[in-house]
Amino acid sequence: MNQDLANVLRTSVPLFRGFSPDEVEVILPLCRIRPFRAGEVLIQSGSPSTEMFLILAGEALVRTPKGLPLVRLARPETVGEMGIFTGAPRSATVEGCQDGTLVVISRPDLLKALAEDPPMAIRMYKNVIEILSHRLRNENLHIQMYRDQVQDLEVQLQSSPPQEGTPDAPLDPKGIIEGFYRSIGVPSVSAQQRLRDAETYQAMRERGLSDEQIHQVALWTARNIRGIKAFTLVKYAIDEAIKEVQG
Amino acid sequence: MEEALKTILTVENDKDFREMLVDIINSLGYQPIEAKDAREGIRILQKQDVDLMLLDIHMPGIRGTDLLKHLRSKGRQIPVIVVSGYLQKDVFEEIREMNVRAALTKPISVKRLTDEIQKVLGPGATT
Repeated sequence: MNQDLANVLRTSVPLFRGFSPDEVEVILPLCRIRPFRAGEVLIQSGSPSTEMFLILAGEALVRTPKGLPLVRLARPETVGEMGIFTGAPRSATVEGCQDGTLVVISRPDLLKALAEDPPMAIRMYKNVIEILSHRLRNENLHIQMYRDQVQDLEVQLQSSPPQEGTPDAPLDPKGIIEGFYRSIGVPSVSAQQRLRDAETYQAMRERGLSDEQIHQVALWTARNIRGIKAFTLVKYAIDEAIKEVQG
Repeated sequence: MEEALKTILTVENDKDFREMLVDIINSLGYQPIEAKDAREGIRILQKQDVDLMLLDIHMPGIRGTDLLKHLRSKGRQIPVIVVSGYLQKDVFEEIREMNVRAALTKPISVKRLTDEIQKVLGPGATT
């Protein structure tokens, strides 16, 4: 279990990205594993940020302070890690929506370990900065996506009469990504994966691909890469897909 | 409790290429483990078993072929797929004798790599 947890921490939790096996060994004793039940409140909005959680099994639901569901979290997603560093009260409520297991790391334990190992602390704070800048970039991307959609809708309303019979033309980021998941038979993905997917889309745009080309590459990937479960892989199949699509 | 994901150890010194392999492994529903060179790979394998290893050959320090020899001399029959920049004929012959499942040269075909991984491990977990 310890080795499995060490692997999860090193490879799947952004806060511990780049940690050496020895540094993960320092973190492991701070991890308390505890079960949770469906319906159990794990984090109450407004309460002090004293712990972070890593989900190992089951699912949890994040709700706004008014109770509106935001996202579902599953292995290996973390919640509450930024509060550990900022000390700000919890901004949302998190409750179990399936029985499961999670890892708890307390704020005092983690801050004490960091104080005793400055190189590890520097690595972790660097990760915190990267996580926050990623989130900011993704928020900007989402805002841009919504702006684009609003603009498209405005243009459609102003310039063209309603058309029928064009259900397979999902040429916007959300449509491309959702179309990809529909075609591989995956009904929903985690919040963390949605962020990675938005980054993948952005990386493909930065390589100069149009939405139509991204759509074609995503379709080719869904049809040709057996066992694929995430849009992230699509950006690595660009050259093969374009070569085959162009014949 | 969920069943543990099948694990794939990637031993590759090129950081960008290693990150690409990790992304691909995650996208197929397996658990990636990273080693930035053969020495780190050996250290990881001393502590745990993995279900498959993706191994680069030309790395600074210990070469991939030496890691493979070390592994087989200890009787560890972990399935290995070699992913390397180029493979001279003698290296190819050497790794073939050490029960390597496939040898792919860079730039790799993602389709070929994912097919070879799934031939060894079967389908990954649904995330």
